[in-house]
Order: sequence, then C-alpha cells, then structure tokens
Amino acid sequence: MIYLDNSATTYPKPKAVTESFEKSMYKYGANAGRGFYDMAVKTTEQIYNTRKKAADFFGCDNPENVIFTYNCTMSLNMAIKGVAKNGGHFIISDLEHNSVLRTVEKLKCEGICDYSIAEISYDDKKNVSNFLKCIRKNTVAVICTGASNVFGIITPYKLIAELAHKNNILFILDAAQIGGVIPINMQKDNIDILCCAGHKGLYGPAGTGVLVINGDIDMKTIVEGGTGSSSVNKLQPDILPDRFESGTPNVQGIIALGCGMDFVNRYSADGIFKHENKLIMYLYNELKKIDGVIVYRNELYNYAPILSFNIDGLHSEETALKLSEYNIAVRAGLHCAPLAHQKMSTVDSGTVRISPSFFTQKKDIDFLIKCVRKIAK
Amino acid sequence: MYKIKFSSVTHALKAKEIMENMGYRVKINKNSNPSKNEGCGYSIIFVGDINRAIVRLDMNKVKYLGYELIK
Repeated sequence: MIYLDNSATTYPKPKAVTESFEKSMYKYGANAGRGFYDMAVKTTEQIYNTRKKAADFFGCDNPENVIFTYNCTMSLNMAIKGVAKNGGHFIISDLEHNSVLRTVEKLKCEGICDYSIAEISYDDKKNVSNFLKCIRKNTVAVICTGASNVFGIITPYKLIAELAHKNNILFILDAAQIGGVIPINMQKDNIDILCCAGHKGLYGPAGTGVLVINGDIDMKTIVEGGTGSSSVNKLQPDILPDRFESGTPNVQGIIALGCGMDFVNRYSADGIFKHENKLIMYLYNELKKIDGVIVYRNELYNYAPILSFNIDGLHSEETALKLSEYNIAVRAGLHCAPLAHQKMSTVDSGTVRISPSFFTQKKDIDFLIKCVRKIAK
Repeated sequence: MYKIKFSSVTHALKAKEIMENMGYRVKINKNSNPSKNEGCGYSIIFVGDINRAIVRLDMNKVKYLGYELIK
C-alpha cells in the first residue's frame, strides 16, 4: 500500500515508536502517578520524561504545563471550553476544522459565547485588518490553525497571535497539521495555548494528544475525576497537570509519543518539511500538466506539505475509491473542514487530499501520478 | 536530612530533577500515612541546604506543600 493520508494520522510509525509501545506494555504496565511500587514509579517517570520532551519541543518552560489528552480535538475542546466565559466572544479563521467550528458553535447555541470568522488572506495587511475587524470588547480568544488540513495553506499565526496579545486577547493555536513539520516556540510566537495531535507529525500512536498551556491561564475543566492527588478534596485540584488529567492516562501511548518526538528531533521539523515539501512540489507540477485535473494551490500563499486536487467529472470520493483500487490510500470529501471548502468553493465535490510523511518516497508519488493520469483519461 | 512534600507527583519529579542537577542525591518517597492535606503523599528526601533548594524550586515554579527536617 502507498499511504498518503498522513494528515489524518502518520503511517507507518518509526520502529522506535512501535517497539517502545510494545515494550512498555510489559515494562510500564502500571497506572501512573498513583501507586508507589517499583513499576508504578518507573511508569510515572516515563510519563514525566515525555512531558519534558513535549515542553522542550514546543518552547514551553514548564513540563507540568503539558497536559496529555487523547487527540487534538480533545485538546481544542478543553482549551476553548476552558477559557469560555458567559457573554464572551471568540474569533476563528475561515480554515478551521470542525474541532474548532463545532465547539464554538455549540457554545453559541447554548447562549454562552458568540464567535466571528476572520478570512485568511495571502496578504498580511489584509489578515491584520480581517482579524482586527472581528475584535470586540468581550473577545476572549482567537483560535487559529497553523495550516489548513485540506489545502495546506499556512496561516500567519504568529502575526495573528501578536495582534491578539496587543489587544489582551488569548491566542490558541491548532497545531494539528504543523506540529513536527514547522518548528513552534510558544514563548517567541506569543502562543498562549497549543493543541496538537500526538499521532500525526509527532509520530506517536493514535490516542495521544497534547494541550500546552503557556503561563498562568484561568481555565475551567471539562472533565473531572481522580488525579491521584488531593483526593480528599471534592473539587478538582488547581495544580497542573493534575487539574486537566483525570483518569488513567494512555501510558503506553504517551511513552511511545516521547519516542516519536525523539524521531522528529533527530531529523528536525525543518528537515522533515523539506523532504515532504519537495515531494508535494513535484506532485503539484506534474498534476498541473494532466488535462482534467484541478489542483487547489494559489502560489501567493505559503503551504504545508498537503495538496488537494480533483478530477473533472468525478466526485472526490470516486477518485479516492479508484486510487484505492491501485492500493493508494488517500482521503477524500470534506476532511471535517467545511469552512475551508466553502472558501475554495469545493463543498459539493470535496477534494482528494495527498499528505506525505517522512517515509514517503519519490517512487510513491510517481506511481500516484501514473494512476491519476489513467483515471483522468 | 530534609523532606519536601508535594501535592502532585509531576512536581515531585520535577523537583527531584532540579535538585539532582544541583548536585544533591535525592530520593523520591511516598508517605506511608499522609495527612488529608498532603495531597498525593509524594515527597523527596535529600541531605543538603534546604534554603538553596527551596529558592531553586521557587525559581522553577515547582509547587510544594512544605518541608521538614527529618533527621
């Protein structure tokens, strides 16, 4: 199989990740942060090691400010609902995934918060103006993706974060598509809360995600329960990470996620970006030459290594199905991001999305091009 | 010998690492009979200058419940 659906989840995982996962099933099988027998302490230490790696990875000073979640959607829900206030207002970009859109929409339907959608442009002056126009007195936070999960458009999130801070507004970054591909430094980039999947560009197992809180931010919990600490207190503890980590964590997943981050650090996010982007640029240039193929790229934008296309007369799902007959795995449809498709007028057809990983080779892309040519004939 | 108590095991591990980097030998411990206010019951035990240690923990935003001389 040629796997080109790495924006959904990376596959395969590095050998060190799968080995670590299997090994920790035997070696670190205890619950973390509870018992004090030898295996429990060693398991807890392993979780702490991944916490430190994640803090370093995202430029956060304090490992305790790294919260382990089960995916980026959960991180975003915790962040958005955590900072939401009655009568508050959010600003989101027009490239957001449903993990952001549905969350703010629910808050709106419940009469808790309202939200505005700001257009992402290739022109930074327009971006500033688009976001400035949306700011209200009661704006609590700006939530912006680092890159569109459909088209790969990189948002000017640093600029938007700076703008948010100048207006005393929190900035929440959805780093699902850029974590491990574009270096992120929360301190330098003015990011208050970062939400990232562990199973995408960080090469960890499914069921892992992180929520990183930069500083002392007043956040409500959306899940309460046992934390292994302050157990006599009926209320959730204030201390991080305990406040946001109720219940048994995904121990093996978190330990393996640490190995995934080691893997990314070994080759560097920049290095991985270069490799993937070279493949995507090659694909883009070749697909453009095929009659009946529509490639969704505007060279004025900056792009992450993700490419969307369609074949004239075929729904994106049909194209994906035909590609799967050639054993090529791609994602089609709306990719849970209707806003991005509205922006690009592709709601009706959806798009076929190609997303490579560190493990994708040029010959994989060559075979894809050959198959697209056949289907487009 | 001093014991520093924590309400969170993450902070206990962070403190252990910081103090090991200061050159102390540190042992992590779980209290056998923690009081209601002792949180998770985790503590670290070390021999050394408690004042230096506490200043360093504060600088690194480690949250501890208190400390005591135990021997």
